[in-house]
Amino acid sequence: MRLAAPLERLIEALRKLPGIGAKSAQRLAFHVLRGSRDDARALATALLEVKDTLRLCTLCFNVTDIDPCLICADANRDRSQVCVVEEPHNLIAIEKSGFRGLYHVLHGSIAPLRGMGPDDLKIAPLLERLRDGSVKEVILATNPNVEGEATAVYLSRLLKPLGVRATRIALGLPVGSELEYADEVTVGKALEGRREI
Amino acid sequence: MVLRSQPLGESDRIVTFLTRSAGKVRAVAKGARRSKRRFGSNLEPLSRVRLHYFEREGSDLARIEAADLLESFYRLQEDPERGAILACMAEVADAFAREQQEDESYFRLLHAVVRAVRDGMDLDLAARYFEIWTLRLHGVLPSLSSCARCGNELGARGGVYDRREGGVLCRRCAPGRPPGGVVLPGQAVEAAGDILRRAPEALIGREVAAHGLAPLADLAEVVFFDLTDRRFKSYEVLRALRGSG
Ligand SMILES: [Zn+2]
Ligand SMILES: [Zn+2]
Repeated sequence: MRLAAPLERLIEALRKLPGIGAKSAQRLAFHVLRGSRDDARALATALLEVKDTLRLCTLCFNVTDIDPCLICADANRDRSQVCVVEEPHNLIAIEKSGFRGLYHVLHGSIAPLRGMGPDDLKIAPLLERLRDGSVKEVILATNPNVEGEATAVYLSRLLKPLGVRATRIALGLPVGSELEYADEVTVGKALEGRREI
Repeated sequence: MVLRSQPLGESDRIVTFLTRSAGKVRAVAKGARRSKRRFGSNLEPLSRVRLHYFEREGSDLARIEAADLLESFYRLQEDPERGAILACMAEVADAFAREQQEDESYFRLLHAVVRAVRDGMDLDLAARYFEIWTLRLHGVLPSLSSCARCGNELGARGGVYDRREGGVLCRRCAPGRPPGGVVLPGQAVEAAGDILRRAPEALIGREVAAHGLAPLADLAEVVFFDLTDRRFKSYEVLRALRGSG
Protein backbone atom coordinates (compact mmCIF):
# COMPACT_ATOMS: atom_id res chain seq x y z
CA MET A 1 0.00 0.00 0.00
CA ARG A 2 1.28 3.47 -0.80
CA LEU A 3 0.60 6.16 1.73
CA ALA A 4 0.11 9.81 0.94
CA ALA A 5 3.43 11.40 0.03
CA PRO A 6 3.71 13.76 3.06
CA LEU A 7 3.07 10.84 5.39
CA GLU A 8 5.72 8.76 3.63
CA ARG A 9 8.17 11.61 4.01
CA LEU A 10 7.51 11.86 7.76
CA ILE A 11 7.94 8.10 8.22
CA GLU A 12 11.18 8.19 6.25
CA ALA A 13 12.51 11.06 8.39
CA LEU A 14 11.55 9.33 11.64
CA ARG A 15 13.21 6.10 10.56
CA LYS A 16 16.57 7.82 10.46
CA LEU A 17 16.42 8.29 14.25
CA PRO A 18 18.39 5.76 16.29
CA GLY A 19 16.36 2.87 17.61
CA ILE A 20 13.36 3.60 15.35
CA GLY A 21 12.41 0.84 12.96
CA ALA A 22 9.83 0.89 10.18
CA LYS A 23 6.97 -0.04 12.49
CA SER A 24 7.74 2.50 15.20
CA ALA A 25 8.20 5.20 12.58
CA GLN A 26 4.77 4.45 11.17
CA ARG A 27 3.19 4.47 14.61
CA LEU A 28 4.81 7.81 15.47
CA ALA A 29 3.77 9.32 12.14
CA PHE A 30 0.13 8.35 12.63
CA HIS A 31 0.30 9.68 16.16
CA VAL A 32 1.39 13.06 14.81
CA LEU A 33 -1.36 12.91 12.18
CA ARG A 34 -4.07 12.28 14.78
CA GLY A 35 -2.69 14.90 17.20
CA SER A 36 -3.43 18.61 17.18
CA ARG A 37 -1.81 21.09 14.85
CA ASP A 38 -0.32 22.91 17.87
CA ASP A 39 1.44 19.77 19.05
CA ALA A 40 2.87 19.21 15.60
CA ARG A 41 4.05 22.81 15.37
CA ALA A 42 5.66 22.61 18.84
CA LEU A 43 7.53 19.47 17.80
CA ALA A 44 8.70 21.00 14.54
CA THR A 45 9.81 24.20 16.28
CA ALA A 46 11.65 22.27 18.98
CA LEU A 47 13.49 20.25 16.34
CA LEU A 48 14.60 23.34 14.48
CA GLU A 49 15.54 25.21 17.64
CA VAL A 50 17.92 22.45 18.63
CA LYS A 51 19.76 22.95 15.37
CA ASP A 52 19.51 26.73 15.17
CA THR A 53 20.17 27.90 18.71
CA LEU A 54 22.38 25.25 20.28
CA ARG A 55 26.15 25.60 20.18
CA LEU A 56 29.08 24.66 22.34
CA CYS A 57 29.96 26.52 25.53
CA THR A 58 33.30 28.22 24.92
CA LEU A 59 34.54 27.20 28.38
CA CYS A 60 33.42 23.59 28.89
CA PHE A 61 32.22 22.62 25.37
CA ASN A 62 28.90 21.33 26.62
CA VAL A 63 25.95 22.01 24.31
CA THR A 64 24.16 25.18 25.33
CA ASP A 65 21.92 27.96 24.06
CA ILE A 66 23.71 30.64 26.09
CA ASP A 67 27.43 31.12 26.38
CA PRO A 68 28.92 30.44 28.90
CA CYS A 69 26.51 27.64 29.72
CA LEU A 70 24.29 27.56 32.82
CA ILE A 71 26.71 25.29 34.65
CA CYS A 72 29.78 27.40 33.93
CA ALA A 73 27.86 30.56 34.86
CA ASP A 74 26.48 29.15 38.13
CA ALA A 75 28.28 30.93 40.98
CA ASN A 76 27.22 28.26 43.47
CA ARG A 77 29.22 25.49 41.86
CA ASP A 78 32.59 24.34 43.13
CA ARG A 79 35.09 25.88 40.72
CA SER A 80 38.04 23.93 42.08
CA GLN A 81 36.89 20.67 40.50
CA VAL A 82 36.55 19.93 36.79
CA CYS A 83 35.09 16.63 35.67
CA VAL A 84 36.27 15.58 32.20
CA VAL A 85 33.86 13.52 30.09
CA GLU A 86 33.90 12.31 26.49
CA GLU A 87 30.46 13.43 25.29
CA PRO A 88 27.69 15.80 26.39
CA HIS A 89 25.40 12.88 27.29
CA ASN A 90 28.10 11.57 29.65
CA LEU A 91 27.88 14.91 31.45
CA ILE A 92 24.18 14.37 32.04
CA ALA A 93 24.93 11.04 33.72
CA ILE A 94 27.44 12.65 36.11
CA GLU A 95 25.16 15.61 36.75
CA LYS A 96 22.36 13.27 37.81
CA SER A 97 24.66 11.80 40.43
CA GLY A 98 24.71 15.17 42.23
CA PHE A 99 28.21 16.32 41.27
CA ARG A 100 28.56 20.07 41.96
CA GLY A 101 31.83 20.98 40.26
CA LEU A 102 32.41 22.10 36.67
CA TYR A 103 32.82 20.01 33.53
CA HIS A 104 34.89 19.74 30.42
CA VAL A 105 33.62 17.85 27.38
CA LEU A 106 36.35 16.38 25.14
CA HIS A 107 34.01 15.41 22.28
CA GLY A 108 35.56 11.99 21.85
CA SER A 109 38.44 9.88 23.05
CA ILE A 110 41.82 8.90 21.67
CA ALA A 111 40.67 6.15 19.31
CA PRO A 112 43.41 5.07 16.87
CA LEU A 113 41.11 2.77 14.88
CA ARG A 114 38.76 5.66 14.21
CA GLY A 115 41.61 8.02 13.45
CA MET A 116 40.91 10.15 16.53
CA GLY A 117 44.10 11.55 18.02
CA PRO A 118 44.69 14.05 20.83
CA ASP A 119 44.49 16.99 18.43
CA ASP A 120 40.93 16.03 17.49
CA LEU A 121 39.76 16.48 21.09
CA LYS A 122 39.14 19.62 23.18
CA ILE A 123 42.36 19.09 25.13
CA ALA A 124 44.17 22.35 24.43
CA PRO A 125 41.27 24.47 25.80
CA LEU A 126 41.21 22.28 28.92
CA LEU A 127 44.86 23.04 29.58
CA GLU A 128 44.10 26.69 28.92
CA ARG A 129 41.35 26.63 31.58
CA LEU A 130 43.78 25.26 34.15
CA ARG A 131 46.32 28.03 33.68
CA ASP A 132 45.01 30.47 36.30
CA GLY A 133 45.41 27.89 39.07
CA SER A 134 41.85 28.02 40.42
CA VAL A 135 41.17 24.41 39.46
CA LYS A 136 42.71 22.06 42.03
CA GLU A 137 41.42 18.71 40.84
CA VAL A 138 40.58 17.25 37.44
CA ILE A 139 38.38 14.18 37.63
CA LEU A 140 38.87 11.96 34.59
CA ALA A 141 35.50 10.40 33.84
CA THR A 142 36.19 9.08 30.36
CA ASN A 143 34.45 5.83 29.51
CA PRO A 144 35.62 2.50 30.97
CA ASN A 145 36.86 1.02 27.69
CA VAL A 146 40.37 0.84 26.21
CA GLU A 147 40.02 4.19 24.45
CA GLY A 148 38.66 5.97 27.52
CA GLU A 149 41.43 4.53 29.70
CA ALA A 150 44.18 5.53 27.28
CA THR A 151 42.67 9.03 27.08
CA ALA A 152 42.64 9.29 30.88
CA VAL A 153 46.28 8.18 31.10
CA TYR A 154 47.24 10.62 28.35
CA LEU A 155 45.52 13.52 30.16
CA SER A 156 46.96 12.59 33.54
CA ARG A 157 50.45 12.84 32.05
CA LEU A 158 49.69 16.31 30.70
CA LEU A 159 48.23 17.45 34.02
CA LYS A 160 51.04 16.26 36.28
CA PRO A 161 53.56 18.95 35.33
CA LEU A 162 50.85 21.61 35.79
CA GLY A 163 50.55 20.74 39.47
CA VAL A 164 46.86 19.89 39.16
CA ARG A 165 45.60 16.82 40.98
CA ALA A 166 44.31 14.27 38.45
CA THR A 167 41.92 11.60 39.67
CA ARG A 168 40.18 8.77 37.83
CA ILE A 169 36.63 7.78 38.69
CA ALA A 170 36.55 4.38 40.38
CA LEU A 171 35.73 1.61 37.96
CA GLY A 172 34.37 -1.71 38.97
CA LEU A 173 31.32 -3.68 39.73
CA PRO A 174 27.95 -2.38 38.64
CA VAL A 175 25.50 -1.94 41.50
CA GLY A 176 23.02 -4.80 41.53
CA SER A 177 25.37 -7.29 39.89
CA GLU A 178 27.07 -10.32 41.36
CA LEU A 179 30.78 -10.82 41.77
CA GLU A 180 30.96 -14.25 40.18
CA TYR A 181 29.60 -12.95 36.89
CA ALA A 182 32.11 -10.13 36.56
CA ASP A 183 35.07 -10.56 34.22
CA GLU A 184 38.67 -10.43 35.45
CA VAL A 185 39.38 -6.93 34.16
CA THR A 186 36.33 -5.50 35.95
CA VAL A 187 37.19 -7.24 39.22
CA GLY A 188 40.83 -6.12 38.89
CA LYS A 189 39.69 -2.52 38.43
CA ALA A 190 37.34 -2.81 41.38
CA LEU A 191 40.15 -4.04 43.63
CA GLU A 192 42.41 -1.25 42.43
CA GLY A 193 39.78 1.33 43.28
CA ARG A 194 39.06 -0.06 46.78
CA ARG A 195 38.76 2.31 49.72
CA GLU A 196 38.72 2.29 53.49
CA ILE A 197 35.28 1.93 55.11
CA MET B 1 40.68 -12.26 19.28
CA VAL B 2 38.73 -9.05 19.06
CA LEU B 3 40.05 -6.70 16.38
CA ARG B 4 37.55 -3.93 16.84
CA SER B 5 34.28 -3.17 18.51
CA GLN B 6 31.96 -0.50 17.16
CA PRO B 7 28.68 0.78 18.52
CA LEU B 8 25.57 -0.18 16.57
CA GLY B 9 22.33 1.68 17.16
CA GLU B 10 21.26 2.34 20.74
CA SER B 11 22.49 -0.68 22.60
CA ASP B 12 24.36 -3.12 20.36
CA ARG B 13 27.90 -3.56 19.13
CA ILE B 14 29.41 -4.89 15.94
CA VAL B 15 32.53 -6.82 16.84
CA THR B 16 35.19 -7.98 14.38
CA PHE B 17 37.16 -11.05 15.41
CA LEU B 18 40.21 -12.80 14.04
CA THR B 19 39.44 -16.42 14.81
CA ARG B 20 41.65 -19.47 14.85
CA SER B 21 39.52 -21.55 12.50
CA ALA B 22 37.21 -19.23 10.56
CA GLY B 23 39.35 -16.25 9.63
CA LYS B 24 37.64 -12.94 10.17
CA VAL B 25 34.18 -12.99 11.70
CA ARG B 26 31.92 -9.99 12.12
CA ALA B 27 29.12 -10.39 14.58
CA VAL B 28 26.53 -8.39 16.47
CA ALA B 29 26.53 -8.39 20.25
CA LYS B 30 22.95 -7.64 21.21
CA GLY B 31 22.56 -5.42 24.25
CA ALA B 32 26.33 -5.15 24.74
CA ARG B 33 26.18 -1.44 25.47
CA ARG B 34 23.14 -1.35 27.65
CA SER B 35 23.89 -4.25 29.92
CA LYS B 36 27.58 -4.13 30.82
CA ARG B 37 27.11 -7.26 32.88
CA ARG B 38 26.56 -9.41 29.83
CA PHE B 39 29.94 -8.96 28.14
CA GLY B 40 31.99 -6.79 30.52
CA SER B 41 35.44 -6.22 29.08
CA ASN B 42 35.24 -9.39 26.98
CA LEU B 43 34.54 -7.55 23.73
CA GLU B 44 37.19 -4.88 24.17
CA PRO B 45 39.95 -4.85 21.52
CA LEU B 46 42.38 -7.81 21.56
CA SER B 47 40.48 -9.80 24.18
CA ARG B 48 40.89 -13.49 23.40
CA VAL B 49 37.54 -15.15 23.93
CA ARG B 50 35.83 -18.44 23.37
CA LEU B 51 33.22 -17.32 20.91
CA HIS B 52 29.81 -18.86 20.36
CA TYR B 53 27.95 -17.37 17.47
CA PHE B 54 25.16 -18.04 15.01
CA GLU B 55 25.47 -17.30 11.37
CA ARG B 56 22.41 -15.64 10.01
CA GLU B 57 20.78 -16.53 6.74
CA GLY B 58 21.39 -13.88 4.11
CA SER B 59 23.61 -11.75 6.32
CA ASP B 60 27.37 -11.52 6.65
CA LEU B 61 26.83 -10.46 10.25
CA ALA B 62 26.71 -13.32 12.72
CA ARG B 63 25.10 -13.01 16.11
CA ILE B 64 27.12 -13.48 19.28
CA GLU B 65 25.60 -15.90 21.73
CA ALA B 66 28.45 -15.88 24.24
CA ALA B 67 32.03 -14.69 24.46
CA ASP B 68 33.91 -16.14 27.43
CA LEU B 69 37.10 -14.30 28.23
CA LEU B 70 40.21 -16.48 27.92
CA GLU B 71 42.89 -13.79 27.98
CA SER B 72 42.59 -10.04 28.34
CA PHE B 73 44.99 -7.43 26.97
CA TYR B 74 42.90 -4.53 28.26
CA ARG B 75 45.45 -3.21 30.75
CA LEU B 76 48.14 -3.33 28.09
CA GLN B 77 46.26 -0.74 26.04
CA GLU B 78 45.91 1.80 28.84
CA ASP B 79 49.24 3.27 27.88
CA PRO B 80 48.32 5.52 24.91
CA GLU B 81 51.39 4.77 22.82
CA ARG B 82 51.28 1.03 23.40
CA GLY B 83 47.54 1.09 22.80
CA ALA B 84 48.08 2.85 19.47
CA ILE B 85 50.75 0.34 18.37
CA LEU B 86 48.37 -2.51 19.18
CA ALA B 87 45.57 -0.71 17.36
CA CYS B 88 47.85 -0.51 14.30
CA MET B 89 48.18 -4.29 14.40
CA ALA B 90 44.44 -4.78 14.80
CA GLU B 91 43.74 -2.46 11.88
CA VAL B 92 46.25 -4.22 9.63
CA ALA B 93 44.85 -7.61 10.64
CA ASP B 94 41.34 -6.40 9.85
CA ALA B 95 42.51 -5.41 6.37
CA PHE B 96 44.39 -8.63 5.59
CA ALA B 97 42.23 -11.34 7.17
CA ARG B 98 39.50 -12.75 4.93
CA GLU B 99 36.01 -13.38 6.18
CA GLN B 100 35.18 -16.99 6.90
CA GLN B 101 38.50 -18.16 5.51
CA GLU B 102 40.66 -20.19 7.83
CA ASP B 103 43.90 -18.42 8.62
CA GLU B 104 45.23 -20.05 11.75
CA SER B 105 48.81 -18.93 11.26
CA TYR B 106 47.65 -15.30 11.15
CA PHE B 107 45.72 -15.76 14.36
CA ARG B 108 48.81 -17.30 15.96
CA LEU B 109 50.96 -14.41 14.74
CA LEU B 110 48.71 -11.75 16.26
CA HIS B 111 48.41 -13.64 19.51
CA ALA B 112 52.16 -14.25 19.82
CA VAL B 113 53.09 -10.64 19.05
CA VAL B 114 50.54 -9.17 21.47
CA ARG B 115 51.78 -11.54 24.17
CA ALA B 116 55.38 -10.57 23.45
CA VAL B 117 54.40 -6.88 23.81
CA ARG B 118 52.87 -7.73 27.17
CA ASP B 119 56.13 -9.46 28.13
CA GLY B 120 58.23 -6.45 27.24
CA MET B 121 59.06 -6.67 23.55
CA ASP B 122 60.18 -3.34 22.13
CA LEU B 123 57.09 -1.64 20.65
CA ASP B 124 58.61 -0.68 17.32
CA LEU B 125 60.22 -4.06 16.85
CA ALA B 126 56.85 -5.69 17.59
CA ALA B 127 55.10 -3.47 15.06
CA ARG B 128 57.67 -4.29 12.37
CA TYR B 129 57.48 -7.95 13.27
CA PHE B 130 53.72 -7.95 12.77
CA GLU B 131 53.91 -6.03 9.49
CA ILE B 132 56.62 -8.15 7.90
CA TRP B 133 54.95 -11.40 8.91
CA THR B 134 51.56 -10.14 7.77
CA LEU B 135 53.06 -9.70 4.29
CA ARG B 136 54.93 -13.00 4.49
CA LEU B 137 51.87 -15.03 5.55
CA HIS B 138 49.82 -13.53 2.75
CA GLY B 139 52.49 -14.25 0.15
CA VAL B 140 53.29 -10.64 -0.68
CA LEU B 141 56.56 -10.02 1.14
CA PRO B 142 59.36 -9.04 -1.25
CA SER B 143 62.63 -10.85 -0.61
CA LEU B 144 64.58 -8.92 2.01
CA SER B 145 67.78 -10.89 1.64
CA SER B 146 68.60 -10.99 -2.07
CA CYS B 147 68.20 -8.70 -5.07
CA ALA B 148 64.99 -9.15 -7.06
CA ARG B 149 66.85 -8.57 -10.31
CA CYS B 150 70.30 -10.17 -10.11
CA GLY B 151 69.76 -12.43 -7.08
CA ASN B 152 72.87 -11.27 -5.23
CA GLU B 153 72.82 -11.07 -1.43
CA LEU B 154 71.85 -7.60 -0.18
CA GLY B 155 74.10 -7.96 2.88
CA ALA B 156 75.60 -5.02 4.71
CA ARG B 157 75.17 -2.65 1.76
CA GLY B 158 71.43 -3.06 1.88
CA GLY B 159 69.16 -2.29 -1.04
CA VAL B 160 66.29 -0.22 -2.37
CA TYR B 161 62.64 -1.20 -2.63
CA ASP B 162 61.39 -0.42 -6.11
CA ARG B 163 57.62 0.01 -6.26
CA ARG B 164 57.26 -0.67 -9.96
CA GLU B 165 59.35 -3.79 -9.72
CA GLY B 166 57.64 -4.81 -6.45
CA GLY B 167 60.95 -5.99 -5.08
CA VAL B 168 64.16 -4.96 -3.37
CA LEU B 169 67.12 -4.28 -5.64
CA CYS B 170 70.77 -4.35 -4.65
CA ARG B 171 72.79 -1.15 -4.76
CA ARG B 172 74.45 -2.23 -7.99
CA CYS B 173 71.11 -2.76 -9.82
CA ALA B 174 69.64 0.41 -8.30
CA PRO B 175 72.35 2.93 -7.49
CA GLY B 176 69.91 5.79 -6.95
CA ARG B 177 66.50 5.88 -5.35
CA PRO B 178 63.55 5.13 -7.65
CA PRO B 179 60.54 7.47 -7.27
CA GLY B 180 58.53 6.50 -4.18
CA GLY B 181 61.07 3.81 -3.34
CA VAL B 182 62.45 3.02 0.09
CA VAL B 183 66.14 2.79 0.89
CA LEU B 184 66.93 -0.16 3.13
CA PRO B 185 70.34 0.15 4.75
CA GLY B 186 72.28 -2.92 5.88
CA GLN B 187 70.90 -2.64 9.44
CA ALA B 188 67.34 -2.85 8.11
CA VAL B 189 68.16 -5.97 6.10
CA GLU B 190 69.73 -7.44 9.23
CA ALA B 191 66.71 -6.56 11.41
CA ALA B 192 64.37 -8.10 8.84
CA GLY B 193 66.48 -11.26 8.91
CA ASP B 194 66.11 -11.46 12.69
CA ILE B 195 62.37 -10.93 12.40
CA LEU B 196 61.99 -13.66 9.80
CA ARG B 197 64.15 -16.18 11.64
CA ARG B 198 62.89 -15.84 15.21
CA ALA B 199 59.70 -16.15 17.19
CA PRO B 200 58.52 -12.87 18.74
CA GLU B 201 59.17 -14.12 22.28
CA ALA B 202 62.80 -14.74 21.30
CA LEU B 203 63.14 -11.03 20.52
CA ILE B 204 61.97 -9.78 23.92
CA GLY B 205 64.70 -7.64 25.40
CA ARG B 206 66.33 -7.17 22.00
CA GLU B 207 67.07 -3.57 21.16
CA VAL B 208 67.20 -2.73 17.49
CA ALA B 209 68.48 0.68 16.51
CA ALA B 210 65.89 3.05 15.06
CA HIS B 211 67.81 3.36 11.79
CA GLY B 212 67.33 -0.38 11.32
CA LEU B 213 63.58 -0.35 12.02
CA ALA B 214 62.41 2.96 10.56
CA PRO B 215 63.14 1.94 6.93
CA LEU B 216 61.16 -1.27 7.49
CA ALA B 217 58.23 0.84 8.69
CA ASP B 218 58.46 2.91 5.51
CA LEU B 219 58.62 -0.27 3.45
CA ALA B 220 55.51 -1.72 5.11
CA GLU B 221 53.65 1.55 4.63
CA VAL B 222 54.44 1.64 0.92
CA VAL B 223 53.63 -2.04 0.34
CA PHE B 224 50.41 -1.83 2.40
CA PHE B 225 49.35 1.20 0.42
CA ASP B 226 50.06 -0.47 -2.92
CA LEU B 227 48.09 -3.55 -1.84
CA THR B 228 45.13 -1.99 -0.06
CA ASP B 229 45.05 1.50 -1.56
CA ARG B 230 44.58 3.01 1.88
CA ARG B 231 46.50 4.42 4.76
CA PHE B 232 45.76 3.05 8.19
CA LYS B 233 44.27 5.55 10.62
CA SER B 234 45.97 4.11 13.68
CA TYR B 235 49.39 4.94 12.27
CA GLU B 236 48.39 8.60 11.93
CA VAL B 237 47.20 8.67 15.55
CA LEU B 238 50.40 6.98 16.72
CA ARG B 239 52.39 9.67 14.92
CA ALA B 240 50.27 12.39 16.54
CA LEU B 241 50.72 10.85 20.00
CA ARG B 242 54.47 10.65 19.57
CA GLY B 243 54.64 14.14 18.15
CA SER B 244 52.93 15.67 21.18
CA GLY B 245 54.34 13.13 23.58
ZN1 LIG C 1 30.09 25.59 30.05
ZN1 LIG D 1 70.96 -6.72 -8.11
